[in-house]
Amino acid sequence: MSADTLNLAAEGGGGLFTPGGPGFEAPSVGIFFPSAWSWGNYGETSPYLGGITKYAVLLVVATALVLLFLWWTSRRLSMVPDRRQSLGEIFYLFIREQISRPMMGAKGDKYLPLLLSLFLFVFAMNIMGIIPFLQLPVTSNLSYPVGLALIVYIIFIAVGIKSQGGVAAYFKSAVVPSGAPGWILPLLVPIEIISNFLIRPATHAIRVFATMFAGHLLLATFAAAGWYMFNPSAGPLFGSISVLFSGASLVGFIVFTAFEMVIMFLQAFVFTLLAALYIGQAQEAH
Amino acid sequence: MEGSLNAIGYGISVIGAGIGVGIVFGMGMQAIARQPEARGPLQTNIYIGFALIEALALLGFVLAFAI
Amino acid sequence: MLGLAAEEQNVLRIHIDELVFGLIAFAVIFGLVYKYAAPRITKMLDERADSIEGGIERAKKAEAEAEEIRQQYRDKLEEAHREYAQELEKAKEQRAAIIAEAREEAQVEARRLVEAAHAQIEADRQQAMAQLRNEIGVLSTELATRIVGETLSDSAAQNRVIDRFLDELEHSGNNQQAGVR
Repeated sequence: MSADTLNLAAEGGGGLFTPGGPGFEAPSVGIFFPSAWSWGNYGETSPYLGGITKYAVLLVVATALVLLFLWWTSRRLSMVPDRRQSLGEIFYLFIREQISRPMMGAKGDKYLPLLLSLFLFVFAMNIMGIIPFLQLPVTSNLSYPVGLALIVYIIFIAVGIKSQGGVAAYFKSAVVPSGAPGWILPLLVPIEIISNFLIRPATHAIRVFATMFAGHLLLATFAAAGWYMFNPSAGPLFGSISVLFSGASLVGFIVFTAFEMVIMFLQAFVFTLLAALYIGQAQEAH
Repeated sequence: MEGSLNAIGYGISVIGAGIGVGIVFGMGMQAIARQPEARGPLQTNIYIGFALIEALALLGFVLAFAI
Repeated sequence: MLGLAAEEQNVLRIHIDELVFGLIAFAVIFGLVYKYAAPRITKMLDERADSIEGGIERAKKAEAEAEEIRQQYRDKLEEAHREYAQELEKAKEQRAAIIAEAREEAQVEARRLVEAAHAQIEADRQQAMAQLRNEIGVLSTELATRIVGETLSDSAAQNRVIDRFLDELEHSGNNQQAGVR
């Protein structure tokens, strides 16, 4: 399917009002499976080493972006910040005042580096989706958010065990709701186990993945539709109509790109917020 | 006509989450309007509630693709 | 869901290699944040908070100092006023004392002058009396000589005669005066 879409784009679009032309082929999930620049036959011998894909390249780009940003904003720090330093401070203070402090209080300040790097990393990976020519959010590949969610998962369980003093104590406090009558526990405990230790990390990873996936698919649809409808050679009337339609699609693309930007920020924020929430919940006794 | 029932299932599962998210943000706006000084904690809790409700829609999304 | 990587185009794929790439990238970012950015920013923010608090403290201190100095000035001014008033009072007293003294002195002087004048007058009177007595004696002697024709050469006798005469004269004068009164 992806090949078809690409071929269509290569042919120059303009399927609308072309008698016998190709029908509109909406972008499919194929756009999330860029072909790998494979080396050797690893892709065939091992199912897991699929070669370097666009995702891997964009991951490097996003990482480099974050590293550059961090280095650039905290290079020369002074009491009176200039714009460059203020930009870095805005992120730092945003994480501290909006996420860390409300969720964990002042004792959560030691998790600030983790939260800051989570936020910046997720945000950078998301933002790859609207950078021209890259335009593929790295988080729309489930592997990357799963890695981050796994880190948070391990950390909050470790923090819980450490702060509750023992494995059993932590799992008891996490699984058995306080104040519940005894007869309902057989019902509640499995629900708590599923929601706390299965659903929680899964949704944590899937949330950012799904929104990026859907958003990118939406943008791709707008772009493909705009391209498909752009057919000025279809005669004066149909040509202008097609250009009009295409322009409407372009407006939609631009509006939704702006909307995506907000969503990307929001999802990075929610991802970090939930990480802080999980760690904070594990930290305090129930 | 071709397509997937999964997509319909996902659409149905999103109805509830959509209503829930709407209620969360609506109530959140009301709360902030009533007590603007409590904006910070309210906002944080709004986003937590939003995330929890969104999880339901995400389950539908996962099932739409996984099954 | 796990291990479905081999299956073609499953959206919910988890590729171990990509996952590991992601973890490595995150580790690099976390390392930079943990070792470099966050401590520096935290330190700088703390320093700024300190300096702002220190600035406020300094300003408070300076204000207190200024208040103290102003109080001192006010005290000094008050003291000066008080001293001035005291000096004025003292000066007034002094002036009064000087005036009184001067008046006293003047009175004493005047009295002395009056007394001196009295004494002078008395002395003049005595002298005049003595002179008069002499002259009267001489005149009387001359007159008596002339009248009696005899020279009273013996001055002692002469004096005696004159004194007697004068006493009589005085007596008669006194009697005459008493009689007049």
